Amino acid sequence: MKILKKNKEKYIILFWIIVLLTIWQLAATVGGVSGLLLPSIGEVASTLVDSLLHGDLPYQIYYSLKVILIGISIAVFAAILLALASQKYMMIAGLSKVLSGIGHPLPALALLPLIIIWFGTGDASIIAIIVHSALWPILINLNAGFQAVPQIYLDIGRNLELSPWEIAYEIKLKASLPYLLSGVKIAFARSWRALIGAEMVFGAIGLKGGIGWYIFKQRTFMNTPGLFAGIIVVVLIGLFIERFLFDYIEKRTVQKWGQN
Amino acid sequence: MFYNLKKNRINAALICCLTACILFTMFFLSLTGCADSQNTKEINIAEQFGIAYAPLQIMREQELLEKALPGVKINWKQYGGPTPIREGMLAGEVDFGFMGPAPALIGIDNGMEWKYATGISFNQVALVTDRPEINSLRDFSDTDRIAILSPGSTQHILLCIASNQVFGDPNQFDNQIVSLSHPDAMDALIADTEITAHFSTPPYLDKELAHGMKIVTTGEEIMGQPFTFITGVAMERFYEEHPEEYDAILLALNTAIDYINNNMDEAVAVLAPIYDVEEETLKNQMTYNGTIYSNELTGIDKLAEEMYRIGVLKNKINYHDVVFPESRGSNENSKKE
Repeated sequence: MKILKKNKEKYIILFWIIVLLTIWQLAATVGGVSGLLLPSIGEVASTLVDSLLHGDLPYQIYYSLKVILIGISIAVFAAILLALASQKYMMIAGLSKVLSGIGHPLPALALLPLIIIWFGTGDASIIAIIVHSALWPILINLNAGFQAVPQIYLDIGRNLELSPWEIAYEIKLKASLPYLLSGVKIAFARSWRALIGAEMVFGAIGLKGGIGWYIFKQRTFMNTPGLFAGIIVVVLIGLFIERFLFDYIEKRTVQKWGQN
Repeated sequence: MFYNLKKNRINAALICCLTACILFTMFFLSLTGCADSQNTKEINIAEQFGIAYAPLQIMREQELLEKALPGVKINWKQYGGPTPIREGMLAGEVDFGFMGPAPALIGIDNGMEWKYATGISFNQVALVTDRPEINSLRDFSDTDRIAILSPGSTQHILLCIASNQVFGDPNQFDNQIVSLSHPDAMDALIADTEITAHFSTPPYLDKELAHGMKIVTTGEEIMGQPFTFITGVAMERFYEEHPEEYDAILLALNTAIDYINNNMDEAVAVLAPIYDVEEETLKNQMTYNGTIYSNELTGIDKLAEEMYRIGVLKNKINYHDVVFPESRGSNENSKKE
């Protein structure tokens, strides 16, 4: 029954995708909308293929994903250290509360002018922006995760005479994995948006730039099909990572270990 | 069973509603392109920042257009670059826009229905560096970064043309350009960041030179001739449907240009508070070597030819086809026909 429902959902999603694409194509071809405002699906597809085969787009996608991976890795590492230290020292707990209170509601784009003055317009800047976007949600989630570790786990750890670091790693961190994962999910969503926004507002950051720079260039050269191609790539990558990659990781870890 | 049937009906109704909503949205989206100027009582003019646009400020300040077209509301909009102006004109929000010659050509190449109506000014444009050892494009290493206004700007196109002349490859510096506004680029250059060079124009150009920086190459060297640096473009529909307003704009602009050229001191006195600089400084900038206010359109066909050669334009563009008839002037280009 459950499988049947899932299949049905798939068909419904497919149905709507086809409806939307048909409306798009009709509007572009017989609807009389100028190709400069709404190019046909064929034009967009051929631009996309051309950019993928002959342009810098594959490199730009690789670059975007690479800086996000680096940024999120740094953020995860820093968040774990901060959260663990917060557990041990009241002073650090206070600090991390103050920092995340300031940092969490602050959009990365608002910080961008400052970051450019401090770090220049190179890779360092873009990574700083991603770390800023990713660190706070991970830290807040991880703190919540540590708070939620059942007291009995910790008591068992002490009973087994585990050292404080063993308790921190084996018990606290592992027990808060679901919290960490959902923090990383939010972190990805935030840093993906920040990366694209930063590149579109302030231009190429890094050698060939990333996918945001691709869209920006299509805009300045008035290549509307290219604009659509860029947007489609952004959507597809976002979908792939949020729907497939995170689902896969969750199935392999949290669900498999019965943590959810 | 009955329950299911009812549910199915509701579902079908829901789907129909949703589809209708989407179609409705699409319909309105398709209308956005034609929104605008059935209302003749309003003219929207888009310009950018800087002393290259000074005649427009005079036009505005002395209300030349308002006097010529009583009862018509003139809306001035200021944008940070040619791209939003083009988008505004495409969406029908702007009737008449002012920008460099290259973005206008890129628009024409991609099907924008606009043409050049006039020139406003000639300006010195030059690649400036703070490194004493750089004397030509060849001296840039592949880690040097060059600041330009934006990809597709006239400065970027000039850089591509120059790199094609030197290396036979217009895309030589593609991975080294950084898109920065003129003031940001100047600050970055002076602050000695990773920015090695800046494709600059006055007043930023003279400030940079005053800081001991030097010119690597100039726009005139690259093009081999002086060329109009800021042009006015109008949508073809505006030209055809509102000839009276179109003529009034050009007439007012010419009056403003003449005013500046004949009464430089008065013009400077009017403009200094607008640009928020000392009169002395502004006068120096406006009379700076290479800054000429003129409605002449020069170098468009040469630029189009170069842009086609380096592959920025997909089509060969003929000067005659992209300038409104009255504005073709008497320069050498129009003799082609």
